[in-house]
Amino acid sequence: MSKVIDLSKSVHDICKEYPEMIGILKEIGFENITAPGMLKTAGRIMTIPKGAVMKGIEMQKIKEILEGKGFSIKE
Amino acid sequence: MSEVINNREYRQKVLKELISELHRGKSVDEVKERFEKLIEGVSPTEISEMEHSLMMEGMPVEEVQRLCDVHAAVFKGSIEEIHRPQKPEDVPGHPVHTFKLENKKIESLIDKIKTDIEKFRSQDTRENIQNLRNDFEKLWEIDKHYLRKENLLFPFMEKYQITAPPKVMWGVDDEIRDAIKDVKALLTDYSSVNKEQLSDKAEETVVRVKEMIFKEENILFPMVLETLSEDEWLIIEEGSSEIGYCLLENVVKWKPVKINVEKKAEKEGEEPSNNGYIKFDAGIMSPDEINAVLNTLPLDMTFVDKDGIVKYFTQGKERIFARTKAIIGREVKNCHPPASVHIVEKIVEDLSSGKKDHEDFWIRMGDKFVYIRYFAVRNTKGEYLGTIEVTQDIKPIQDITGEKRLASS
Repeated sequence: MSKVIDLSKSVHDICKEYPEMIGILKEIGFENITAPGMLKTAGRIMTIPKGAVMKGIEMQKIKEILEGKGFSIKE
Repeated sequence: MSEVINNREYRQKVLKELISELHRGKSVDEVKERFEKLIEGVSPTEISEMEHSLMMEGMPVEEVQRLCDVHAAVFKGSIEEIHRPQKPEDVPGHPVHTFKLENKKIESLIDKIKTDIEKFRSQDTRENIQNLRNDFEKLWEIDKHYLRKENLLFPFMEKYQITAPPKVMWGVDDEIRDAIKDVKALLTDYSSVNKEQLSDKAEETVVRVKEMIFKEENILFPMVLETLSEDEWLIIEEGSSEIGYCLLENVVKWKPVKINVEKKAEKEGEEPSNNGYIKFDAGIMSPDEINAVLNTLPLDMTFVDKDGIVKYFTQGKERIFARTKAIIGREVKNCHPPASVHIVEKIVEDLSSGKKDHEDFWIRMGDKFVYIRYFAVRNTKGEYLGTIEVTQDIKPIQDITGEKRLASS
C-alpha cells in the first residue's frame, strides 16, 4: 500500500500517521516544526499548503520532494 | 406607552401573533404591511428568540420548522442570517475582531508604502523621503498590536501549555520592530549613498509584516479561538485600551453573549413577596438575612439554574476557587477552561436527567484538602431546578480528634 499524504489534513495528523514526515518537512523549510509542542498546537491548525504560502515555498517543489520520498499526494 | 418601554417584548409578542396568523393560513400579503413596519431594525437574535419561545410554549419543532419557511418569504431570504450562529470573533470589540481590523489597516498602509518605495527608488527627492518617513512612523504603531498580543494574549496561551508558537512569534515580532527602527534611522539620517540599501531594507520589512499578518490570521487566531474561554477574552479586552490600538481611532466595547439574570428572573415572575420576606418551608427571612447567612456558611456554593446559567455564588471570606461576578448570567460552559468543561457538562447532564443526585470529588490543593460536591436541586415535585456546587476545605475537620466541650477563651 502506498503512503498517501492528504493535503487537507493538518500537519499534526500527517506527522502522526507518518512520523518520518517531521524530518522531511523540516528539511523542506518548516524549521519550527521540531520546537517542543509546536506540532501539537500550531500543527493542528496548519496544513502543508498553508505552510507553503507562509514560508514562500512553492507547492510544486514540496510535492516533488514528497513524491521523491515515496509518498503520493492527495489534494 | 408600554410599547415604547417594553419595545422588545412588545415586538416579540406581535411578531409571534403575526407568524401564528400566517401559520393558520393567512396569506403573506395580508399581514405583510404590519409585518414589515414591525421588523424594522429587528435583529436576527430576536427572531430566533421568538422561535425559541414558541417552542417553549409547546409548539412542536416541526411546526416551528415550517414556520421558518413562511418567515423566510417575508424576511426576503435573510433566513440564513437568522440561523447562522454569530462567531465571537465577528462581533466588533472582540479582541480577535480588533486584531483583524488592525491587520486590514496595516495591509492598506503597506500598499501605500510599496508605492512610496517605488517612487523613492526612482527619485530620492526630499518629498519622497519625507513620505516614506511618514509611512514608517505610522507603521511603528504596529508596536501596540504586538504589545497586546504579547502581553495579553500570550500569557493565556502559556496557561494552556501552548508555549512554542508564542515564543517563536515574539522573536519575529522583535525582529520586525528592529527592522522598522532601522528603516526609520536610515531615513532620518539619509544620504544618497544608501539609497539601494534603504529601499531593499524597507521592502524586506513590509514583506515580514505581511508574513506576520498571515501567521496571525491562519495559525494564531484559529488556535486561540479554539482554546480560550469567553471570560478570558473579556480579560484581554479589558486590558487592551491601556496598551492602545494600531491605526484605529475608536474600538467599540465588546458585549459578549450573556443572559441578564435579573431580567430572566423578572420574566419568571420571581418577586419577593410578603413585605420583602421570603417564605421557606420552615420560616421566613429577609433577603438581607439570607444573603448574610449564605455568606457565613463555612463553605462555598455556586448555583447553576436549570438552563445551565450561573445564577449565584456565595461570597464567603475565603473562597477556595476564585469566582468573579462576571460569570453571573453566563452559561456554565463559558466559565470553565475548555479542557475541563466537558466534565462539568457531564455532571450537570447526569444531575438534570435524574441519573444521579450528587457527584463528589476530593482533591489536594497545597495544605488544603478540598471536598467538591455537586447536588441536583429539585423541588418537592421532583422537578430539576438546577445544580449546586459546594466546595469546602475539610482539612481542619479531618484533623479533629478527641473532644472539645468548653468554649475557647
